[in-house]
Amino acid sequence: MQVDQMNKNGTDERGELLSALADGELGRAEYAQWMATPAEADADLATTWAAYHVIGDVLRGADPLVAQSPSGFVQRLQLRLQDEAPLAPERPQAIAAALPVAGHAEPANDAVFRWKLVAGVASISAVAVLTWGMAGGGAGPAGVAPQLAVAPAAPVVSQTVEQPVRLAGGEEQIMIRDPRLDELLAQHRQGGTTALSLPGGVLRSTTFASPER
Amino acid sequence: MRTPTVRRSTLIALALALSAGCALAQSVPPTEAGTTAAPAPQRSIGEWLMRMHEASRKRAYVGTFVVSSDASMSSARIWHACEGDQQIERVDALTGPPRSTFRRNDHMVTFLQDTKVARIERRESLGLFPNVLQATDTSIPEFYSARQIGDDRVAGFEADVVLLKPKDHFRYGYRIWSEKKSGLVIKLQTLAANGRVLEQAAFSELQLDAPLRLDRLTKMMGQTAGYRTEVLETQRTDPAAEGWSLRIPVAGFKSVSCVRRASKDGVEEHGMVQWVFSDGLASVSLFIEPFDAQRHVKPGVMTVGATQSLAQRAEDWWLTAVGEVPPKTLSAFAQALERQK
Repeated sequence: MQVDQMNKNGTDERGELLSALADGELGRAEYAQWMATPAEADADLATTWAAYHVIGDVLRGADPLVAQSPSGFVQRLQLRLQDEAPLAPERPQAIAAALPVAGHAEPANDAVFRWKLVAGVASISAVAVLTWGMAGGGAGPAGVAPQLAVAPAAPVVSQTVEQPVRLAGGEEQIMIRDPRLDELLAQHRQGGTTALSLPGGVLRSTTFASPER
Repeated sequence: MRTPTVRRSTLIALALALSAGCALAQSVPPTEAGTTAAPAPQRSIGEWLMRMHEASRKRAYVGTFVVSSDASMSSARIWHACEGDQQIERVDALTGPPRSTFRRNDHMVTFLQDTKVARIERRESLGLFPNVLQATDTSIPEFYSARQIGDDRVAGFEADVVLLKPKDHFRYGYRIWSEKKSGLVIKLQTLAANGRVLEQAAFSELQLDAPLRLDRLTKMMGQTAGYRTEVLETQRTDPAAEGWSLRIPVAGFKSVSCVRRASKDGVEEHGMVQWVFSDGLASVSLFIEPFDAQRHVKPGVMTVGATQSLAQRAEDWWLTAVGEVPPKTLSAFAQALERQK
């Protein structure tokens, strides 16, 4: 136990020396002591040493070291999304396939295969148009399939979002500052022609002297 | 014993009834000036306004004044000193481009600190601290009523809160916080017809009867070293002589002054006429200048806080009407304005 204790103390001591070495605070004598001990003695120290360097790089904002983990996540996410994509194009077929099964009573045109085909094509195209409309309708009929693939991943991107122009406090208070008008307002204010001129008479002019930012 | 108890309670009830009756009898119905039976002395609108006006002329004070509305807020530091008939006021804008404005009697100097320009303006005869109540106080009660609605404390001072209600829709209402002892207006709200506060102006900090020296402020006013001086000429003129008249007067508003300003390039034709009307509390300025297609491109109404402005073309002229009045009042002025010559 005493040996273990001594060994533990030794490890701690080496850990401290390592830390000092990393910080560049190792004294001459301590450096000699450090170099005297064989490196293989502590495998942990090698890990710790690497850890110190990673920490230092992160603190200094060095990109290559930091980017690995997040980019890996994004790639994994993209792969997952691609896996999910094939589900959407199946919908038109699923609905078209369901049509012949749905009705128990025979449709009037059932006997004529041509009409069944027309009905099937019509339903597929109807669904395709609907989904195309949903996906933003930008690319055209040819681009329907890729758009459907993209849509689940980034639904916001495919919809056009119009940023409303916010006006501060209502229409009449849009500040299109006209320096001439400011001048007139100031002249009006300094008139001092009313009982309520008070400090307010000149003061209100200060409101106008400062242009709206 | 029962009987004395009953008698006593009856007496108490009677006493209460009597006192209630007395209180009801004592409450005075509102007079035509709209005063109420408040514990404070009853004041008519003229009295309230006179107190406020006198306090702003006769008391020295220093404070920070803040003007705010829905769209903006700005503040300024104000110094006001007076000695006998002399008054001097300094206003330093704390918001926007730094500028200091000094007003002394009829002399005004504005120091624009960013462009290092000192604008000097002398106003003939109108003066900057006119005793306006004398001229228009007779008509104020016709168009406004005053009523004390309570007490409040602003910037550390106890104030009476007075509501000035307009009697028609051509003007705004006001809620005024008048400092109890002096009557100085320490907070003012301009109210629309529906009671909405259009603009609020108040002292956030005030030192009343501050030991300010008139001569010191006057000295500061004269220190134009380092500034390029610009002198603005304003001449008192007569609207009829300028060729303008109002076909139909707007209720309550009387003409109080008309000045002509030389334009910046010195050419007389480009000068501007400012015709000012007032109903005692609100004022409207009609700025009339020759129409210039290059400069006058934006007709319309603009609102800044409680101030409305209306710009429009009138044949060869460009009119900009400005005032703390509802837009319909400015329209009424614009429609009534007539060229004589």
